[in-house]
Amino acid sequence: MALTLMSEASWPGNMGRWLIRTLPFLTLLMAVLASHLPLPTVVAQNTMPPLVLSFVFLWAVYRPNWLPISLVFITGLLMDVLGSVPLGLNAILLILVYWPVAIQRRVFLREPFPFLWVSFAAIVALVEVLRWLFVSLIFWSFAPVGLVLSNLVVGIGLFPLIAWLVIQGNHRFTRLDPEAP
Amino acid sequence: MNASRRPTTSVMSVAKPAPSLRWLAPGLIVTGLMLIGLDLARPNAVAQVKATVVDGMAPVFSVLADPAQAVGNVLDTGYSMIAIYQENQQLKAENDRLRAWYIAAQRLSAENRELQQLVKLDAVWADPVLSARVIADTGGAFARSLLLDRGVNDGVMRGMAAMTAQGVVGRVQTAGERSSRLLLLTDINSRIPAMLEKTGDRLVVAGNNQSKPELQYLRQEVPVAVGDMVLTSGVGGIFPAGLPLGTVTEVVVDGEGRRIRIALQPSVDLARLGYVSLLPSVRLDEPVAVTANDGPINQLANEPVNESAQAADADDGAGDTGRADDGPTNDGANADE
Repeated sequence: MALTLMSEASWPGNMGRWLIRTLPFLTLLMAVLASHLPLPTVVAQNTMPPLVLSFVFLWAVYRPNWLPISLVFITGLLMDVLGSVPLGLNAILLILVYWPVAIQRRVFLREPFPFLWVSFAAIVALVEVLRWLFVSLIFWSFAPVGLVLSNLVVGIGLFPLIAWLVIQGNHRFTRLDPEAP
Repeated sequence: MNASRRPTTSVMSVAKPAPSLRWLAPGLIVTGLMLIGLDLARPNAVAQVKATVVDGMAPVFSVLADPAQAVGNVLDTGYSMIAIYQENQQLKAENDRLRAWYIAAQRLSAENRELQQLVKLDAVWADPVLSARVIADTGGAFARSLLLDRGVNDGVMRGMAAMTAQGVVGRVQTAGERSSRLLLLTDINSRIPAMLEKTGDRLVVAGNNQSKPELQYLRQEVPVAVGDMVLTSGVGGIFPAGLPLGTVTEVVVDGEGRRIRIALQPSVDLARLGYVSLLPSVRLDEPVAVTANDGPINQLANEPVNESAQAADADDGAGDTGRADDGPTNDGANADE
């Protein structure tokens, strides 16, 4: 990372502090972009693991103050614009994850990591069921569940990796910006 | 994972979420619900707004598309190493089949030329107007669509048919100024008027958000077998007639021998699209009514266009569950949703 090359004494300035605090939102934007890259391969065919949801969940636990709920909403709108679901659906689903998790974050911080993982699995499964129900209602026929399940499995499987990234990032940046709220 | 060993209490000192969360969160949910309502009530207006926003993001995707392609190729190489024997066997079988077709095609091509000269017929389908690069996959579990790097400024229009050398890919769903969204033929909203190559019988290729769309409205008495070729019929005017859509890959019959499901393997490998060619449609954004002298493509069709209505009427229920209003005649309308 470029940041590690700079000395901690001169870093961060006001600008740097501002940049650090936008990190969670940047990770969300990157997750949105990554979800839509056209990987021309059978391996990843139509699989779109809930990357954004993982980041929203983790930042809600570790740094809700760096990720205002309005930015979560905007990220959801961006997903709706890029994806082919009604405008507002992902925005609502992300808020439904962020809101209760940010309020109850102390519970998640107290417990060991497996608790976090299982909680995420339960929440993401609930969200995918909600999304599936809503889409089925719009099409007025049951939407196929195969991809929903594979997305869930891949998403839950990737969670520890994303959690590691978020926890590492949070530690580093908390050191760089000790006065951060 | 390492994550499980990290101390989890190091950020306990962080203040609790701002009190505004209590008011803001429900407010945002209500806003979201209103947006959903707006999207359902005014889909075209919202689609235009979406297209404008996507236009702004197109350059970013344009830059990222090539590296993504490279990563995909690496993954694919690994995958094909595993599947190489099976693929080789399939290719050998296909080669034998194609050899026979090659001879048949030469004979038919010569015959076709002669017949076309006899009736003074123009080319069967229009030349592609432009080609576009696939820069993003905007589908997911509930939709099948791609983002193209060409828009209205480049001559793209809503409703244009997209294809590759192998066959039909889909059609342009919305067009922004610099980018456009391509609805794949596998999308649940895709209905393409088609016909069996062997008999000329009309049917509809209906997407189902899975890799193999279904054939609907094919009369029970029409024989159909695995391997039969399906082409566009040109009815509805979105797609020119005679473009390859795919081959029948599965015919499911019930206990009484009635067909309940026919699946189509698209001719184009939709998972590995890099570029597509866009063809001008015969009619763009026009009302549904199709008349016999509607355009050059319909004039080329084998039968008068209104026969498609009979095909829908003749459908005796197979594969037609709760979608009775999706008949071939109003496909132009459905396709424009």
